[in-house]
Amino acid sequence: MDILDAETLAGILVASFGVPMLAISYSVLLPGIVRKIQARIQQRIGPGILTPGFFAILKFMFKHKPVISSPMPTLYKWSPSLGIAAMYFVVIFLTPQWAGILGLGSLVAIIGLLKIEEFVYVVMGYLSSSILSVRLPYPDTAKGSKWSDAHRSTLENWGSVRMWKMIVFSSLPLYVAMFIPVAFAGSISIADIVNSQAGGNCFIFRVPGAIGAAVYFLGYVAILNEYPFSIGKAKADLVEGPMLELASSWRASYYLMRALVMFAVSSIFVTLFFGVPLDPLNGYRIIVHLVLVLVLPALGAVLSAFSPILTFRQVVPVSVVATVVGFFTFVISMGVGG
Amino acid sequence: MSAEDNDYSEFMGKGKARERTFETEIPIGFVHSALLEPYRTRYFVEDEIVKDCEIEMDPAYRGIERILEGMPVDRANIITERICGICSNGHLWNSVRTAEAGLNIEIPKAAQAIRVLAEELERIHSHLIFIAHACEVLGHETFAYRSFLMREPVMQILYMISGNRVNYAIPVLGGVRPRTQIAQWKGKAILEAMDKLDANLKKFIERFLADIMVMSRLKGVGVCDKRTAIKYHAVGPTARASGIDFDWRIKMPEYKDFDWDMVVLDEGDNAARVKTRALECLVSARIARQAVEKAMGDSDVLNRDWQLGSMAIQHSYIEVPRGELYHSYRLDDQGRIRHYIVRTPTVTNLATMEVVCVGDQLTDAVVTLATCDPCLTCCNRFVVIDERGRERSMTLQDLRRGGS
Repeated sequence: MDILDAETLAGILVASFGVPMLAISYSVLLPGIVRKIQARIQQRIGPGILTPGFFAILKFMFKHKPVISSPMPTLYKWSPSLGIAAMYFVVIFLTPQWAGILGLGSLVAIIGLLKIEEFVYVVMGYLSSSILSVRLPYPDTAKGSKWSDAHRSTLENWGSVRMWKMIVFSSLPLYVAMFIPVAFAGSISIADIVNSQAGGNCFIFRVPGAIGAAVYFLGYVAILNEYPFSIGKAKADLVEGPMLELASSWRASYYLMRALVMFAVSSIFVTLFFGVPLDPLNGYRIIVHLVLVLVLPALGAVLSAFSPILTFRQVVPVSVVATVVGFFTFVISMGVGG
Repeated sequence: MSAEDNDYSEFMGKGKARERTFETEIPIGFVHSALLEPYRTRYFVEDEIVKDCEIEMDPAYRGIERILEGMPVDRANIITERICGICSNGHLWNSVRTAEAGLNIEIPKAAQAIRVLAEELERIHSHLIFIAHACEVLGHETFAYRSFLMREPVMQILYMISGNRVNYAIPVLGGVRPRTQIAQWKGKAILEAMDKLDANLKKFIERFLADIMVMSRLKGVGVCDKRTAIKYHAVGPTARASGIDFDWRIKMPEYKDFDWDMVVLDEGDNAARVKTRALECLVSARIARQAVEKAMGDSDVLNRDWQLGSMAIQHSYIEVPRGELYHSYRLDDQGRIRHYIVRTPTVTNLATMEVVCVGDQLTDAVVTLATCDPCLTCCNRFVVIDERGRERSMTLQDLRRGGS
């Protein structure tokens, strides 16, 4: 592709700046939609659609910034921004305009970027030390304790350990499911996967595609750390885990990161399984894409409303079964593909 | 932030114990979203498995016994009702009951029935709070909300009877407040609400027990066998979920004329503790119906024919939602309270849970503690302050002297 061609260059510029702007504007709606669905299931009115994703961010942006208790406060504060940056690139690499540039419009690049987002939680967990656990100034180890001198971990540290485990176990189905359309199309290029589904030949309407979509859905819920896969920040013990010390604009950036992850992972799903790319130069496609992006958050909201938090006792078998199913579907897809 | 601010070494373990003990300790509380009241739990874990657990509840001490010392008994009842926000009726009833036993005050039958009605309604709302809280800690918000939705009509009934949703102030010495008598229209409304509650609760229990994901978190977790329950003196529904067939209502004369069955399960796990309380709500609804039938239309609810005077020390036990509640005091010549002692069920239930959560996953251990339905502010009954910081053992005699 000749990127010096004026039309191509304009397309790349639109994809690089216009699409992320659209993604941000749209993604701030998603948490509100999710919360509204959950509220209706629970026979509540729930918050306004714009409240959790937009007004919450706006409110936190202008809050007083407290001192963050962390051995490396700067890195801790900017960690969510790292996730936002990763999601920015995921979104632009999904556009057809970036398809042929340096091989970035491929699944490998996207998976690498998603891993950065997952790792952000691990980093934040190790860099935070809130007053809710170890630092509480109360002499609770003074008298009568059998273990007055034990090594102590903060809630965030423990959240970090759990996030490590979740990277290993729970997001595996997501990545396995991503490769099912690859087997079908015979290529890791996003453009090739989209082209193989041209003319309404959507992969999701085939048996392997439907199974792959189900596996992907589980991975989607897991990567968002949503119920039932929210053990990394389980409110029962860790409260918010790695995010405990994030306040004011830093918390706003975390909310934005989460909303963007919701959008980006759903957008990958629509591109891979429906074959509808995030094409800023095609009005019809982009509208269909944005509508289909709602599918995963809506289903995720329903699952979360009806699920308790799963501990590793349940997460590991669920993840193993989903991964094995995903793997066999991948093998079957290789036969179906072409 | 300076490097000094980031030095947490004083909070970390050191020395031999650090090498000897578990992988790590996770301290939770006093401020925590899963703890409705201030207590601190120290979980000693290896990987995710809890190897030991310690609970502290010192900051919740309010010195109520100290306040009650020397107070006229009728005024003291206003305070005893405020020992607990959930079982306020239980504390007030037991406090009143203690003096009534000592002073031989006769209680009209309708008043007894209204007291029973209030206690059973309180049990239902307390158990439904418990179920909602357990579901919240479990992470199942929908079940939590459903439980709160079922509880609301019960709160409306309590409001209708007493004019308040928290401290109902129903029992007084000699009976109940006249405003709480059950008129025909009130009785019909209560009976109707109990029928609806019955139907909704049965559906809820069915769905709850059929939910595979919820059961995978609760079944076989936090198992407290009968022996452990006896050893640590578990009481109330926590004990009955472990096969101990005891309920103070069997011994209470107030319940003699009521037809009801005790709920006893053998499993002893978290699922059994939730199930016991859910089934007890059905039993309470049954007792409440009978109490309404007994009290409806009867305006003789207060006996004023008695006099305050000295009273030897009296002990009174009743069954409140969390189990055995003990109140004891004596009255001096002027009818003033001396040596008030309160023991709530949470003390021994928490001690039991501290033991049974060992071996569970950390997240499950928090659920295990929640399933004993702890109520901390009413459970913390004394505090010892030694200004010289000495460590010492206290004998029974020390405690009798008030720790001095």
